[in-house]
This record gives sequence, C-alpha cells and structure tokens, in this order.
Amino acid sequence: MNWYWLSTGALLIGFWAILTARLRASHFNPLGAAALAALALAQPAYIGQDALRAGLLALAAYAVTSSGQAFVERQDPKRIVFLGSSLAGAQLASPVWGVLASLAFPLAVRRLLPVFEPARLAGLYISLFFIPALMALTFVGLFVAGQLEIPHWSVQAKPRIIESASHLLSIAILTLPLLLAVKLRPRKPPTFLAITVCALMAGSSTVIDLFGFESAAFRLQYGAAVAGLTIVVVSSWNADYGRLRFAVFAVSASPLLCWILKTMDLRAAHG
Amino acid sequence: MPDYPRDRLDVKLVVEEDDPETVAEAELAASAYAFEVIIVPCGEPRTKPRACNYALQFARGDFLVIFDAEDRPELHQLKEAVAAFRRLPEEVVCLQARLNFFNARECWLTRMFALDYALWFDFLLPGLDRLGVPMPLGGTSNHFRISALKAIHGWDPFNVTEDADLGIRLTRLGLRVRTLESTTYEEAPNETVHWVRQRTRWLKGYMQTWLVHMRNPVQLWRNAGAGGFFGFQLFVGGTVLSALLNPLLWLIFVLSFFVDLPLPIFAGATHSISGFGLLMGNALFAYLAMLGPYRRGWLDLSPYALLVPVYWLLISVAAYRALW
Repeated sequence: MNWYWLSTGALLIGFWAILTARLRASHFNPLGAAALAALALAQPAYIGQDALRAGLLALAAYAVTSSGQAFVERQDPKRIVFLGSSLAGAQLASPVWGVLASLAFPLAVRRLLPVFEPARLAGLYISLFFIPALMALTFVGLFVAGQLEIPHWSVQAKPRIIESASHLLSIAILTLPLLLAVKLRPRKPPTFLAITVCALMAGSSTVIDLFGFESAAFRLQYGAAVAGLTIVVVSSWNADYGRLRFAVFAVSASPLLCWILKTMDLRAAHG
Repeated sequence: MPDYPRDRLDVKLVVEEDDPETVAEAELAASAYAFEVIIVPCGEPRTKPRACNYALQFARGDFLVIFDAEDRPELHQLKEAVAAFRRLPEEVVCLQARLNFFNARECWLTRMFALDYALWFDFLLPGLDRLGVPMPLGGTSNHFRISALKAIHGWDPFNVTEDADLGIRLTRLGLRVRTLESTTYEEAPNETVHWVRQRTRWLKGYMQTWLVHMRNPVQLWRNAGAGGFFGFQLFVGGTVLSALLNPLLWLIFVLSFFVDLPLPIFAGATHSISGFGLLMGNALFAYLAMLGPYRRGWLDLSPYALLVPVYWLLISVAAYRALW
C-alpha cells in the first residue's frame, strides 16, 4: 500500500471538507461550496512528487489565516492556542516561511486588535508566541543534536538576482487571483490576513530562491496555497446576488494559472 | 455585606476560646451586625475542621457556607449559590466557588499564586466538574446543604485539609460537588516563609487524605467508580507525588550531561526522549499557567508563567517539609 498517496489523499479530502464547511458557514449553497472548494484544490501541485508537501503548505497557510481571523475576533485561550499551533505547524510545513510568519504575522495583526494596556498586551503576545517559539527551539535542539538536516542547502557566492527575477515574476502572477478576489469586494479583516500570509510566503520564497535553494516546485505549491487563501477572502464576502459567479471567477483563476505554469515548465523541460 | 436579605442570614463568627483578642474583636463586630459569635472550647485536635464541626450544631436554615476571615466574596455569591441549589438535583450537596486573590499583583509570589489559583479554579475544577470526577474542595467558599453536611457529620477534625477530604467523602457517599461561577477573593501570603508553611500544611493534608482513602482501595473504587478512583489518584496523590519527584527528575536530567550515571535506563535514545519529555511537560504546564488568568482578563500576569518552574521548586520544598 502506498502510504504516501493515501496520506496525501486523506489530507486533500480533509482540506476540501474544511474549505467547504467555511463556505457553507458564510451561506454559500451546498453544491456551490463543494464545487468552489474542489476548484481550489484542482492544482497541479497535488499530483506531483511533492504533493503531500504542497497540501501541508496550503493547509498551513489556510490555518494561519483562519486562526488569525478567529484571534482578531476574540482573544481567548482557545483562539490563542489555535493561532499559536497554526504558526508552529507552518514551521513544519516550510521552516523559513513558518519562522517568518511566526515572528511577523502576530505583529501584523496588532492593527486589527482592540486597544490593550502595555502589560496586558505583553501577556497576550507572550502567550501567542509561546507555541511557535517552542517549535522553533525544538528544531534548533534537533539540529544541534544532529537529528535534523536542512535539505537542498547550496549557498551561492552572490545572490542570484537575475535568475530570481523569473521566480519573482511567477510568484507575482500566482498572487493575482488573491488580489482579484480582494479587488472584487470590499476589504475586511480576513482579506488583510490572507494578504499578509501571502506576502510572507512570497517574501520567504523570494529570499530562498535568491540564495540558490531549490525552489522549482515551490511556485506551484505557492499557487495551491493562494487558492486556499482566496477561499478565505471569498467566504468573507456579503451574501448577495452574483456572489457565487464572482467567487467561481476568483477561485478558478489560481488553478488555471498554475496549470499554465506547469505546462510551460514541462515544455521547457522537454526543450 | 453580600447582597442577600438580612432576615435570611444567620452569620456565625467562629473563634477559639483561648484567643481572647480575636474573641473581643469578633464580639465587637457581631454587635454591629447582629452576628452570633461561636466560641469553640479548647480541645484536641486544635484544627479548623474541629471548630467548624462545633459551630455546625448551631447552624440553622437550609444552606451553609464557610468563609475565612479575610475573604471578599462577590456580592451576589449567596444568591447565586441558592439559585444553583434550587436548580440542581438533591444529590448536589456542595458548591465550590472560585477563589483568587485581591492582592494578586503585590509581588512575584502573589502573582505566581494567582496564576496557580486561576489555573486550578477557573480551568481544572470546572473541567473535573464536567467530567464528574470528584474534586478536592478549596479551603473556603464551600456552599452546602446543611442537612447533607450534618448527615455526614461534617469535616474530619484530624485532617489539616478537611476540605479536600470532604470533597472525596461526598463523592464516595454518592453525593456531588459542583462548581459555582462566582469568585471569592482572599489574601495571598506575600512572604515566602509564610507561603511555604501554608503549602506544607496543604500538602500534608493531601498526603493524609490520600492515605486515609487508600486504606481500602477496592472500597474506594466501588464507591467512587473508575473515574473517581483515577481522578483521586491524579489530583490528590499525583499532586504530592509530582511535587516530590520534580526536583529529583531535574537533578537526574542535569547530572546526566556531566556524569556517567550508573543507570542503564538512560542509554542512547532513551536519554533524549526522557529529556524531551521533561522539557515538554514543563513547557506544557507553564503554558497552561500562562492561559489560566485569561478568564479573569488578567493578561498582565501571563508573562510570569515563564517562571513557574521556580514556583514549582518552592512547592517541592513544601512537599518535602510536609513529608518530614
């Protein structure tokens, strides 16, 4: 039995169910919600050899955004644990992005929180940073103990600025569906959070590529993650006439672009 | 004064006979508020539960609550307790209010104590309540149906944590203890030596309670059920055991890096896994302590939870004193 594909399938089915539930909670009809979620997951990243990693990355990005939204609404222990755990999970899915998100995302959401006295704010943020910090320390401990290797490490003498330009362009193009979803409807906190997560992923990916880490597969994984974030934005839209149509338009843009990119990569590989 | 009809209150100030200053103060206070002073005759053992048992015979009415002298219960606590008793089935004979401190921010020690209480009373006890696991009572703000309390002959006068013992005894008799949302604010000791003495007494009482109820473990299992039995082991026995073992485990862990311990159990991966378990366990409980004060909105106390391992060492000191 191929446990890898079994795990990947289970993960994607679970993710589909989560996305569907979110859309249903914002009053999309059952068929529309299921279809939109399936559309978001119709990604080339999920049929390659890094399918599981792509799924984990997309799920992690979604979890961080979703838990961030819950945290902004109310700062209670359950939501703090949820967000902290999501950020820790992001470190597992992608160490560089995860660490960056663990540091920057809580600070970014500060603008959406109510006013706190300094002492209470310090308490809130220490509680929030605790789990991600513990995860990062675990990684450091494993690295020091020689139990962890950092894969594909190849530090170049200089940053590959010109070569990274195409990577940056790809990332920018793959971000378009999310920006399209943001543009179509008024801004709300989930939109800001989705864009923040997206920006952190794009930023960390660009830095990684700049210094010669292997990132060819990452673009498609990034595109798949953006699709999940687009669902977050779409589910924040007011329930009105035409919403489903716009949602299909916004959500389908991501898999479409990813498949185009995939086709171009295949053509380039075959000369 | 609590928000409760005066003509429905029967307040007793319970004082020891051989403490004339307190007796005088009590009588002064009683005259101002139409309270009754109960002077407990000298005798052995000279404990709070003995005094409570003595005063119990004078209690009138349907419900009873124990408060310590410095306690500040929330205004509506009595009404909430009565309403809860009327709503809940007859088998619920005791309600434990939440406890915390009005001087929580006085110093490092009171902050740690406030975190300790917040975790216990705001999270763990309500959790035990939901699971139907017997809960050790706190030392104050226990509300009772007087008839049930008299039927079980009150408290064990020889147990220095008569409240913990009573909670378990009630469960063994098929009666239930539930939690009450209302809070009573006490004064936390602000000096380490007083804190250690208090905690020593509590842990000694927990040891007594565990030993008394484990004289016949089969009977305990039959009375309390499996959930009650294991809950008792975890929250009474486990409290004492963890306090005693904690410094030993840390000592072994630290020594293992510098000395070749003649213990085969630390060979290879076991050492790493054990160390990881110790650190993660401590981190988890520190995190729980960090989240404990959220129910009260006392977020400013959360950062102090990073120092709970030091606080736990103090608890261990108290545990060894209690054992001694």
